[in-house]
Amino acid sequence: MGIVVHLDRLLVERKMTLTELAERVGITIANLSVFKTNKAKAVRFSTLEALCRELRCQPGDLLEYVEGESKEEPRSD
Amino acid sequence: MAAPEGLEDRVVKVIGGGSLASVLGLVVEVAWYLSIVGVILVAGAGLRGLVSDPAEVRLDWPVSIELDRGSYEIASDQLRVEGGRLLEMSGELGLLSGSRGFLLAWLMLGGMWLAAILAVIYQLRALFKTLAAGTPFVRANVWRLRFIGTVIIAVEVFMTLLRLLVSLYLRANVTTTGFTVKIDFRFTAEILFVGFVLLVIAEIFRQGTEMREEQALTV
Repeated sequence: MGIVVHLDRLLVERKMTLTELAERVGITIANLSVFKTNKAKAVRFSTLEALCRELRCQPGDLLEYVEGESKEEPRSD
Repeated sequence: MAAPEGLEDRVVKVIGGGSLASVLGLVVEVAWYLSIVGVILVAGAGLRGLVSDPAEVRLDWPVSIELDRGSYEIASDQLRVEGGRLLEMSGELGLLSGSRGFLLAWLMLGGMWLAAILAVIYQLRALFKTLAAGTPFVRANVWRLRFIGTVIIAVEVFMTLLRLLVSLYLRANVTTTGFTVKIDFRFTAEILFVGFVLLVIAEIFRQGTEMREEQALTV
């Protein structure tokens, strides 16, 4: 499973829409959607910081490591 | 060593619309249509040969030859010349096909060669379209470059072996006076080099594509 994103849960808890969060963080809805649906390959610290700021949470609230098969193998090069 | 300043401000636009790549793409496009015309002409000539008199169709095979010593003289009144050598002599041996089967085999060989050229130009066309569109790092281009490199190497190796076998056959079966058909074992190192360089560039494209995909999925 690897890293699981809990943006859905946090949005519900904060009563915030994806569009609203995207505007506040300053990234596109498409990009935020990629993150929410666990399709992202990497997250910038600046994005993570902005998400935590707007959602008033810790990185650990947003991301969780779940034991099991990873989405992909780490690059060897 | 640091990159020269102003490297980004290139005078010539290399990829994208109205770039060097789009001009080269046009050249490839012309080559593509010329190749198709060439294939039609060759196929037409082959079919005509098969239908009319297959045994009398003349086939020219390139050979390397060596002149027999004594069959030529080198002299000068002005200079002191001590002998000499004639190097890299080549020509063509005109062979009559002899039978329909021989001609068919010959046409199949030519057809394979033309097919390889067409396949390479076809892939080049697609490659240059992506370059002109400004999107070079796509997985299809990795495959295209590998394909082109592999075909170039394979055709050169195949042609080298074929030239060798035919020259051995001709030496054994053709009597010549004044010259000898040489055992033809020459390959064009530049062509093989280009083939291997393309395989390396394909790997660079693979890594570039991975990086682009990763960048697109970075939030």
